[in-house]
Amino acid sequence: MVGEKVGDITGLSEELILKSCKLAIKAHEKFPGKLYIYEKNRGSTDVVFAFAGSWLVDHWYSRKPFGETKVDASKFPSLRSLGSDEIALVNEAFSTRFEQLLIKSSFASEVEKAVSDRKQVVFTGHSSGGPMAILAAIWFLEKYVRPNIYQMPPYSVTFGSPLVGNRIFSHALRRENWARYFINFVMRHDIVPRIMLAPISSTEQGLKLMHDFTSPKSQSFQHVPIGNSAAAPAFFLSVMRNASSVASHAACNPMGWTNLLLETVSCFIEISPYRPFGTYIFCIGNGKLVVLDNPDAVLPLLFYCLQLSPGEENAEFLHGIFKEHLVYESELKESLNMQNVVYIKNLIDIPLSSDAGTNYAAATVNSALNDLGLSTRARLCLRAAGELEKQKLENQKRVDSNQDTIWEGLRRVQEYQTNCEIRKIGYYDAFRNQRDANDFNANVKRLELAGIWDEIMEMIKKYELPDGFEGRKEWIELGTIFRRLVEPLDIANYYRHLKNEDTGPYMVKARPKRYRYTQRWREQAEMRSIGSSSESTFWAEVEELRTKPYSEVKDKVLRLEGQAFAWIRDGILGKDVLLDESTFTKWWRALPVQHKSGSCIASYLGN
Amino acid sequence: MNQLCLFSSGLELANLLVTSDLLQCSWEAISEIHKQTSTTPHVSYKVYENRPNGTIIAFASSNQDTLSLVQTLGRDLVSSEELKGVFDLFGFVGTNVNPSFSVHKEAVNVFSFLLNELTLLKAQYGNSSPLIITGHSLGGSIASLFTLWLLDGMPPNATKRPLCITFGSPLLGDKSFQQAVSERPTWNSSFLHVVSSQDPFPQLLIAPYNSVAAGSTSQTRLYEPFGTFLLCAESGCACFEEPESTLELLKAMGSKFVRNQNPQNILCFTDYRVILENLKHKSICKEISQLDGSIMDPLLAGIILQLKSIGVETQGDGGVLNSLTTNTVASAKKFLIRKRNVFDPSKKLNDRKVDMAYLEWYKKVAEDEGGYYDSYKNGQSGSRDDIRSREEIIKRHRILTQYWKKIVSEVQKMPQEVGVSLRRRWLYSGTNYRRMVEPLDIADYYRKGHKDYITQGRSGHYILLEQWFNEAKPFQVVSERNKACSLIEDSCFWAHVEEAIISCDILNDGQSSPEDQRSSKENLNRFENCVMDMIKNYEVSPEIFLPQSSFMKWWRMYSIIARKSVGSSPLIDFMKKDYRNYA
Repeated sequence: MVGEKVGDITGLSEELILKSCKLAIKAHEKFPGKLYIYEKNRGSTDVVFAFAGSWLVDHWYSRKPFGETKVDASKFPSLRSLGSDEIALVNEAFSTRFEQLLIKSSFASEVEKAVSDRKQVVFTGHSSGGPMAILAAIWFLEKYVRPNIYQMPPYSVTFGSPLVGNRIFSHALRRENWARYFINFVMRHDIVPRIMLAPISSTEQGLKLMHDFTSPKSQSFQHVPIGNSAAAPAFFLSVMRNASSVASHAACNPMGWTNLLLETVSCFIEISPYRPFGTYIFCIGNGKLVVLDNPDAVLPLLFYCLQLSPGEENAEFLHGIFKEHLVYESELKESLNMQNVVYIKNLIDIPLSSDAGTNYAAATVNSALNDLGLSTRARLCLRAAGELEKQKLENQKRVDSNQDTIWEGLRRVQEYQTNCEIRKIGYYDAFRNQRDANDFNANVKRLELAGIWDEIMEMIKKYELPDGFEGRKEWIELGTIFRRLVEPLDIANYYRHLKNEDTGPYMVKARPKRYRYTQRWREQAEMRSIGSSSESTFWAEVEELRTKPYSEVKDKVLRLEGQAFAWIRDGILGKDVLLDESTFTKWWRALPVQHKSGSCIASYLGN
Repeated sequence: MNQLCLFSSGLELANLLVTSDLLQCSWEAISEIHKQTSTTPHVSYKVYENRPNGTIIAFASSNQDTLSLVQTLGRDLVSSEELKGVFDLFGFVGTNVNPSFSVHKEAVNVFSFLLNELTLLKAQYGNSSPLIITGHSLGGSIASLFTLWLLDGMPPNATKRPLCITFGSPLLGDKSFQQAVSERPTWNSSFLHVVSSQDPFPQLLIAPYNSVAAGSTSQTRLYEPFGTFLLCAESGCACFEEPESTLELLKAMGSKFVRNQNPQNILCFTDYRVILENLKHKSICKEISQLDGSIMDPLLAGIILQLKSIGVETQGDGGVLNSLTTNTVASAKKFLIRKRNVFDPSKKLNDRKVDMAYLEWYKKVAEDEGGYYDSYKNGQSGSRDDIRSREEIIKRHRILTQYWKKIVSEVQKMPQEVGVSLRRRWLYSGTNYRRMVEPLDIADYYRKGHKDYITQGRSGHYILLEQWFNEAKPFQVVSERNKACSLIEDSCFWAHVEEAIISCDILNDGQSSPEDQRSSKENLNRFENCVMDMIKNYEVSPEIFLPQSSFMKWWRMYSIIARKSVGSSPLIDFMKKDYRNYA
């Protein structure tokens, strides 16, 4: 895509980007006195919070080798994968700094103020201020946007920011459709955005060098003592080597490499877990900008566009690399003015060789790739990332084409439920008894639906669908209807065949992914607590309780009654569970009188 | 399905390997052995515990004089048949599909020479994790054999497997050996062979290179690589896995040794440290070679880059791609596609559940007609609906049988340890199928008037499914039943009933021989006890007590005989009244 403007691509005005950049650089000056600065402007429609960076090793790595930890699920409930229920990893040092910010400063209340003033909120940071901006934006999205308290999403604009989270982090932000609010500017030769790809052991010295280089009070401000120290080249080389490892390791997946040696070897080597996300805008240095938003493509680019050409490995080049971390403001002034922007959306057709390009569009893309210094190997990585994305979209299309069949199947099960009710029997009990042909036909429908859904779940588990799939309204809705309608039949089948006898309770051992996953979809989409949307497993609970003496399970009975009361009241659980002949009714009526008289569902089943 | 877009990631994997310190650590361990001057004739080893990458066991040829090694090294293969009874240790490598194979005789000899020490080594470090086993030249062959030996004792789904890294090793076995190892994907993935273009040693067992060969036989042509190869040259490195093209590339890299008339000049010791350092340095530099601008196919582009990296010519006369390149691309394509289409029975498992639902329904409906076994056996077909439903059942029966026969035969082809994990996964469905469907086969069998189903008529796939189920039992948590099951646990139950009825007939037949009478009696006693045990354990389904069932038919015959002879037994007591409450 050629000729677009940065403002159009990102949704953030150039003016605001420049303002952010200016503040982000300025924020460093107030550190450590202030953790952040922000601009109050009565007339302005926006507020920019800028975070200071730090070069203290403790502010980068909490422990060896890469210092990652699980995100705080109470603050960032969305940062996990829904299907496999894996919590995202975040750099612990960055996340601790952010926690401190919330606890020890007036940051939260000032954001609150900005929200009540209906302002567009922008978080920004240069260098290790970047991660603060990113975490602040996610915190804002979780706190204000997801619960619909505030509709205007924030932006995080970073300049030369190190990486913050792992693959799941990126996956979750894309699922929530939040990735587009994260805009990262990276100078082609800036080493800092690559640092987190290396372990602490190979960057500790480098962080000290960077500190001396960038701090105005230091003797070596803006001057790398390359002549008398091997530390600078060693730092650069080890970061690059690690970046190269990560890029190669990651490239093997999009390339569909089936050599299991990779898996074996992965147990023996340490690879950085950090991955990029959001929109990346690479500044080439001559005013040109190249924009990409496919994280599988951005990762190899972080390595390849800093790859050395023959003869480049000299003091001057290294000095340049250190310096590039400090030129964002002037560079952006120029390039945002020039608007020479190439947005590489289509990675499938990019030329593999630097001298290719017959038509105008291809030539422009090719010249952008050449400006980034991309070799054929690098271009193959981009192509592979593009093919992977395309494959995921095609999978999604195929999965979507099943929707009608699913709706038709659900309609049939619904008919079955209605027919049963006419006969004064709940469909759960009817199905469990399997007395007539209707029950059998419902069973066949159940299995057909299971086949379709299981295939989808398998794809989700292997991340073969686009990241956004589990956040799609139509599928969340379909999944919920399916789960509520059909899961009781699976439970009935399970207990009818006495599978609990040899396998154990349904909930513990046998609940299929097609229900576990879809329940989490809804809980995530509707901001419910984990496990709260378990109405479809009502019968499994009943089946387990009814085989045990009341005295043993008293608490569980009370809990189930409480839930059932609400579910029936809200129409989530069908009233057919209360029919006279229902397993549930019969069991409940056999409970001790004392219990029944005080029960919240006595009004439903009283007589 | 859209057209597949294939990639070759041999460069990426190679890059990952050289940028990690895995190879360097392994080589260092080997170098330390090289430093010690040893007088042992063959291979010596050393263990390094708790290195940064884990424990390392290194093997190196004690003799570093490459020339003398080249001249003295035997090149013959020895077959697994010849080894039988002599040195059986590696018999486990053979599989159903590749039962016999050959390996480098010299390597096996050295291994057997060291066997006592290696046995201790295995006992001490075999389970440590992570574990790297590495070796140089002939030591690499020993490292490979030792690793195979360890892998044999590990469950196929073990997550912590050892990694074997060899440097400049000669090839180890023939094509069957390669295929047998490749049949176990997890085994094959444990081997990385590093080969430098400057190292003549790995060329030794490859056909065209036999200028120095003393006593080489035609067998040398039969060696074939297994595992993954990291081929290194001055200009770069790349990984290859597909065995045939790997062999061709090894030959192409080695061709310069053939051209060189004076092998003494080049047969010097190859120090992989220098080679690895060079490659590590190169990893952060751009490759210089340029690709023809017209190439858009990523697989072709990837392979060309890989060949250029290892210094192999890709172009022949007139700038067109040479046959080595096009062949490598073609076999890579075939290889990748084959890997994508591996046998996966789970794809159809859900469809088969629908078939099972039909049978289950049939079983349910047939309860009014004495149970599905007898209903099916009698084949009563009154109304048109009945005929239709019977046709449906026959159809589903056929589909299910085809499906499971295929699965069983595929699993059977797999090596033991790969099959085991698959069997566990399909065990539940397979057992369910056997218990539901086998009675129908039994019904067909006895309706035709045959006898001795279990020994004469039982299909092999049922036998295997049952055997696998029994093998997996110790790994399953089975709680005690307190309710009758809906499918009879012993899928041959009805065959036993039929045999028992036949035995009753024999006893009732005044003209049968005394011998037949005696064996029939024994058979009946055994069956009676068996049935009582099953009833106690709730292993039979209540439908056997339906009045029209064959079981009840047997009981009516047998109870008369039994009352006459014994008068009372647990089963007689049970059948008086209790059976009506059995559920």
